[in-house]
Amino acid sequence: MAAELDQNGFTVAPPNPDLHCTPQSVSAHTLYETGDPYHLVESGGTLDTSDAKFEASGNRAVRVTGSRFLPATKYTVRIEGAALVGYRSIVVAGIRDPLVLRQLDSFLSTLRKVVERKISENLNLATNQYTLNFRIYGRNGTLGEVEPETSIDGHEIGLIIDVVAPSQSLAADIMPIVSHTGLHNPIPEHEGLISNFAYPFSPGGIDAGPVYQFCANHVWELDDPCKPFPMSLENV
Amino acid sequence: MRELWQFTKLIRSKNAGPFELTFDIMFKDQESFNQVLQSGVLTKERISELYQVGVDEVRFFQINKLLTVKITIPRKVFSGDVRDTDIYGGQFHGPLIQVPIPDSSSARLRQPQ
Repeated sequence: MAAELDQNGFTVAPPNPDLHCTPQSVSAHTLYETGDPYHLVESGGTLDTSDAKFEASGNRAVRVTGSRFLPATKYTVRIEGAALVGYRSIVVAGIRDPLVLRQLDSFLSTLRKVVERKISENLNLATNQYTLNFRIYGRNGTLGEVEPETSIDGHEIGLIIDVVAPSQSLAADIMPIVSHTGLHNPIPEHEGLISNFAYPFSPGGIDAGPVYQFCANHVWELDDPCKPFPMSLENV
Repeated sequence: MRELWQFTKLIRSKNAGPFELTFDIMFKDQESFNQVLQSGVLTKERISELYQVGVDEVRFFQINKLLTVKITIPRKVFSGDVRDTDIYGGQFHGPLIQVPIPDSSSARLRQPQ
């Protein structure tokens, strides 16, 4: 998109002559990835689009007027940060046995207990030093705990075993404990050794590298804009 | 009885920053927009139930000029968290698609104008 700005507003149009924009397509942009379409908070102030007018200008362009910039009463700085929280290894597996699927929750909670003990004994790691997450595609793999439909309606599920540990080698060491124990984790209906997981790859474990999480996302109000950013001049 | 998607030209979800999810529900025409809003089904309360957030945490915008309803809720699991299932929030609209919308006559019976 190309925009022409002037004192009273701006006019946008696509440089590609085959395309055009409409008042609706341009105004819909105030919706995209915004929590509030009328108040877009930025450092230094808020863009208020409550009274914005979007009008067609010719066949391809849109003229926008009436939006206001409301300067913040305090000087603010946006702080964003991410921190390393560990290293991930994953395994992908399919489960097709209906007897396992119908007791999947108890199957996985039993498995979790057993592997937590093995990880503690073999790697000397407490449960607060790593995360073990069973991602169940075919039930709530997409929405997690928010998923309103909690039953498994299909004939199979896709399981991602997701481990995050303090180092890549520890994550890679935990993974076979989980995947091998899970492979043979017994259920009462089958007598004898069973294999519960279908692995599409061998070796199954995939090192997925470092994991970062947001650790800061703030608007910082400052009395003195320069205070957190000290400057010094030196003659060299 | 029809489902919400049959009244819309777009239902989408997306992150609005790492801590919020936003839903844009754009309707096909004025009649569809009116019918769904008058049905009393698409409300803060319904969103609160569907997404397990408090009613007062749901922000609801009815944008008449765009025939659009925009809804913003807090993320229960922040984007990029170790337990996150959808980093960009692009699939959270799933449960909205098939929300049943009573037809106009029964809506009028329930909510006399």
